[in-house]
Amino acid sequence: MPGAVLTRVRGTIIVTFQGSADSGTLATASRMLAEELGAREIRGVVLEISACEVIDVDEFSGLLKLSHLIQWLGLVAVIAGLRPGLVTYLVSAGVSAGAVRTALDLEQALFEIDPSSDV
Amino acid sequence: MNRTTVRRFDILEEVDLNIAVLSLQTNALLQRVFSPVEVAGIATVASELGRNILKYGGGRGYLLVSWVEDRRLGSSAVEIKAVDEGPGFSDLKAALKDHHSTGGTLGLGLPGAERIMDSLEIENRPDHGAVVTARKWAKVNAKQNRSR
Repeated sequence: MPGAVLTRVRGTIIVTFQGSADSGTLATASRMLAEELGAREIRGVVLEISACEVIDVDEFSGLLKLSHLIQWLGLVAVIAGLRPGLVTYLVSAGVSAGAVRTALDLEQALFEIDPSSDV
Repeated sequence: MNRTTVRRFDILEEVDLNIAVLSLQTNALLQRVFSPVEVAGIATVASELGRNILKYGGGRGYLLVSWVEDRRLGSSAVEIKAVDEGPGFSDLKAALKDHHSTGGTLGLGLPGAERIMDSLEIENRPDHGAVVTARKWAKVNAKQNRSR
């Protein structure tokens, strides 16, 4: 069942998308993040999408908007776990990640947010 | 040209898109004929076309996935046909241009789908919706078919 799970690791929030980044899942993730970001001291957020083999342009646009929202709050946002097929599609479609950081996997994403982390 | 229907997906809400995408991702025939990257691309195109049905196509329509065989050329392709009941495209040429959008989106869905597939055709049926047909040929004769 698609959905999003939120976990916190040493000042970083990890939002794991479980197979889909559709509008319902993005709305759920935004809601969970809004509660979490208001309540705790957070350095950055990782949007982990390695379980999503297919994300269309509209869905990726939603992920970028969520990333921008995180950046507006002064935090680092990293989209992690983009699959080769997905990257091929997005590049062919002409989609740009813009100023949003991307990472191959969760480990790299955590390092992006906190280089001193040894996670 | 022989055409075998693989499956029809009625698209009425976003969950129908998820079902269509998952079904294509796990389709044994597609997995046998195309590389994993190509299968992901084909499934994403289905998602793009299905989303257009929900956003611009009157909110209802269907995706028809077929297997097409051209015996003369000895080649086969997967065909995704998106049929909707919306107002149709007001400007067909513009619809395939990058960043053209009538819905405030990136406007890259259809142009991207066209680049991923070997062909993409739009049939406009003013006041009766539109039919978008995208095909991707199996690699052996892909270039040959693409130029037809």
